[in-house]
Parts: sequence; structure tokens; C-alpha cells
Amino acid sequence: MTNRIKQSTGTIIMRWVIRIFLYAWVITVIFPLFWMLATSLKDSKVFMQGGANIWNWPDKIFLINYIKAWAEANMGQYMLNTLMVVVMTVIFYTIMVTTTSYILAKYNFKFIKFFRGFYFVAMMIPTVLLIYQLYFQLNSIVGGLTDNLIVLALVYAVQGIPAGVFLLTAFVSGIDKSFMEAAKIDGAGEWCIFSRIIIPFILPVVLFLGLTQFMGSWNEYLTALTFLDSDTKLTLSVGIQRLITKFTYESDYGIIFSSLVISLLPILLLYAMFQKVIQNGTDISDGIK
Amino acid sequence: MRKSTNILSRPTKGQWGFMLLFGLPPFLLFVFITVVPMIRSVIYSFYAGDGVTWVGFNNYAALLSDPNFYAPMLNDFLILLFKEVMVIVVSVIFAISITRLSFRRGETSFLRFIYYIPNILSVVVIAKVWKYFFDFDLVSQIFGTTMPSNGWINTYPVPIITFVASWCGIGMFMIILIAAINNISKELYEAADLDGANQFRQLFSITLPALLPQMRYMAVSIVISIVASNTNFVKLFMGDSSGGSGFTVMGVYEYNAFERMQYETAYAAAVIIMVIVFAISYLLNTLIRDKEENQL
Repeated sequence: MTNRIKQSTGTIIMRWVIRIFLYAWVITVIFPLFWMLATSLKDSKVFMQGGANIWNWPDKIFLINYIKAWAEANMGQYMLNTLMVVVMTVIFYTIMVTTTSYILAKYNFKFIKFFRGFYFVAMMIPTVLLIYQLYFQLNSIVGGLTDNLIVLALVYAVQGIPAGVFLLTAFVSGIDKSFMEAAKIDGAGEWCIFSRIIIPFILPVVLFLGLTQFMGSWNEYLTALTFLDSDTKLTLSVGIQRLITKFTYESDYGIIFSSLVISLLPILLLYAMFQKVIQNGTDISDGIK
Repeated sequence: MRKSTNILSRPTKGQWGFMLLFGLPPFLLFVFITVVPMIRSVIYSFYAGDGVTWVGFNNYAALLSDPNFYAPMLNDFLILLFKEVMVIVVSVIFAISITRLSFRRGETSFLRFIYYIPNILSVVVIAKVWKYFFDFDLVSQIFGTTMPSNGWINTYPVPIITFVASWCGIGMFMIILIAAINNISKELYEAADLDGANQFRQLFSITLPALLPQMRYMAVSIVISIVASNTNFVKLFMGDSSGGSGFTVMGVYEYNAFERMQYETAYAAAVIIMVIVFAISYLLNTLIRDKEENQL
């Protein structure tokens, strides 16, 4: 009996020690974001004079930074461009990944084995090293082909195929064959089997993959930086980088920080909305085995 | 009676149609967008900068005798090593703490919600916020230190990049680990309790071995993404061009070669880096998989 009580006090102490570490990390995550928000509401002059004093919540809230960032810095245009790229990416990606996974998981022909191996190895290609090569290759077909949001979306979607297929194939394989066979006997075609039987089973995973792809493309930087030229076509990440270079000369940190906050809002909103889908990683972790 | 699908050795008409319509286009696009640039890099790495004169292995020889090529490579290796250790250790400890210490439900979901946030942020925002964080010397305001004359980032580039890159990578892996831990059968722990195995014993003989597949996935995906992540952070921390502190990584080395139109160097560098990334991820994958199989 004493032994039991002793153990439980030990556990309680351990629990509190670990809890301190867990909340230290919470602070590490939140603090920079909080500081960004606070700075975006400060007058740039005050910010520069008082240094970046972190303990000061702005005594006067300067919403004008946001208005300036939106109006002077083209944020609206950048956001619209990004939204277009991302929506197209997710549509291309979802179609390609689901159909390919179905084929790889359920078609047991000899040559399919090759494609399974192919996509598995392809997952290890560091595509970031191939951006310039792809840029030259595309522009050699039609000059200026890379300065195009549809092309950018297609590149994002296609580069995401192997990793998506890797996770999804595991789930499609798990679907019982008898469902498909029953449908076949009833005369269902391939498309019907795919859309009526396979898709409903894997929908939660597809939603997860679509969301992560959405966030990934929203945030992608290097490809967009290399591909896009015209100012009217820039995505948020590239646009913000340009804007920062411009306003750093003017030491207008209010605008810089408020544009950073603006670029975060849509993605934070999406995360808050679909939190459950993302947090429920059960499916994803099963796919990794 | 129709034949059952699983012993069919030849596709039906409908299956051919589905494969040609939906399987082939993504495959061809993938080959065009990823494989062709890769093959072109290999081919052009054997030519001079004009793309016409064959020079054999000269580009590689020139690259390997360039002392400036090894510094970025070492930086990448160091960041990779530290990042693997930090991400895996921290996310495993946090995931196990959150699941096994039986906190209240609300607290657990709060922690999970917060921990995932850095994963959804854009690399530009992350890099800029942390850059300002170090450049405006918030570090000294918090810890009472003084900023090195060169600035924090230029003085300690490797630890800072490792920290920031791990900061935004832990959430995703933790969610995967938490799910995997929750999937471990409760009976295993109950049996261990009956046998008198204490918490630490259970940790090392039940929980950690069960997490090996997830850890393999983490280890390999960190390797695969390291070139992109380092390139992003160095470009955003140190400024876009080659100037600044002189700190580079392999991805930036390749980029700068392209931007200076030293194509032969860029192609050869790309090939060498790809071979290294392939080799490390293959090796890690095999090593950890062997370990998994030994346990069964």
C-alpha cells in the first residue's frame, strides 16, 4: 500500500516537471506570433525609437498599418493570385492522387509493380534542386510559360503525387475486395467502382491530404520566386518578400509586420475550421506502416 | 460465373481505359516535370557551360577541388544531424507525455492545437519573424545577454537554422506519433503492469519499439526535405544574393551557380547533392527497417 502511494507522488512530480516543458514549448510557439501581432499594431516611429521592446503592448493601436499594407502593397492582388494557384493545385492534386492510388493498390498486374516502385523512389527526389532546370525546360517550349499561375499550380500538384500516393495507397489496399467484386457482378464499370466505393472509404484521408497540400502550396516560396516575373502574378510569399525589401529601406516595420499578419489570416482561419481533420492523424499514421 | 478480379492476370477493357485515362497522364506529367529535369542535369553535367562541348568528368573534378563546395556541404550535414536529433527526441517525448500522462482531454487538445500551428505557417513568415526576433535582439531582452557585434544569425547560423526549422516541423510529426501511440493495444500495458514492469520499462519495451515505423518515416522525410528547408532559410535569413555573411548551404550554392550562369557547375552540383540525399535516405530507411524486422 505504501509502495503505491509513493509511486503516485513520484508520478505527480514527474507529471508537473513534464508539464513545465510542455508549456515552455507552448510559449516558444506563441510568443513570436504574439510579438508579430503587437508590432503590426505599433507606429513604426515608436517601434524604432523604443527598440523592439517586447513588453510593451502598443498604447495606441495603429490599424492604419493594415490599411496601408492592403492598399499600398498590393496585398489584395497577391492574395487573389495565391488563392487561384492553391485552388487549382488542390483540384489537380486530388484527382491525380486518388486515381493513381486506386490503380496502384487494386490493379494486380505485373507492370503495376514497376509503377509502385517508381513512385516510391520518386518520393526521394529533392525537387528543390530541379527548379531552374524545369524553368529552362518549360521556357524552351514557349517563352514565358513559367510566368503563369496554371503552370505553377500544375507543378505543385505533380510534385506532390509520390508522397500523396504513398499514404493513400495503403488505405485503398485496406478496402475489402468483396465490395468491388459485388459491384462488378452488378455490372458496375471502373469509374463507378472508383467513385461510389473507393472514394467514400478514403474521403477523410483525401480531405487531410487536400488540406495539407492547400497549406503547402499557399506557403511555397522558391518555385514561385523562380517562375513568376510579372508583378500582377506574384503569390503572397514572393510578394511579401518583395514588399519587405522595399519597406525595409523606409524602416516602415508597421507595414511589414501587418502584411505578415494578413498573409497568415486565411491559413489560420482554415486551420481553425478544419482542426479536427488535421488533428485526427490516426488515419495518416496508419498509412505510414 | 465471372472470374474473380484478384486472380485476373490481364486488365479488362474498362481497366485499360481507366489506367490510360487517369493513370497515364499524371505519370507522364510527373516524368516531364521531375524526371526529365533530373536526367537533363545528369547529361548537361558532362558538358561545358555552352551545352555543346563534351568535357567528361571535368565539371565534377572542378567542383570537388573547389574548397567553397565543402563548407556548404558541412553546414547541411550539421543542420541535418542536429535537426534529426532535436525533432525526433522532442516530438517523441512530447507525444508520449501527452498520451501517457493522462492529462484532461481539453488540455491535450489545447496542446495539440498549439503545437501544430508552426506547421501551417509560410516559410517566409516564419523566417522573417525569427529574423527580426534575432536582429532586434529580443534574445537579450529576455535572457539578459548581449548581441554579438555581427548579429545573432550571422554568428550562430547552424544552431539558429536548426532551431527554427525544428520549431516548424515538430507539430506534424507529433500528431502522427500521438495517433500511433493511441493505436498500441492497451492489453500490452496491462500485461506489463501485471508482470511488474515499471513505467520506464514499459516505455522502452512497448511504446518506443511500436513507434519505429513512424520514426523511420520522420527520419527519412527530414532528410528528403533538408535541402529545400535549408535553402529557404538561408535565402530568407541571409538575403537573396550570395552576399552577406558568406554562410551557404548546398541548395544555395546550386542556385547561385545558376544565377551566375555557371551552368556546368550548377548541374554537377545538383547531381552530387541528389546522389547524397538518395544515399542517406535509402541508408536510413534500410537501417531502421532492419531494426523493425529484428523485433518481430
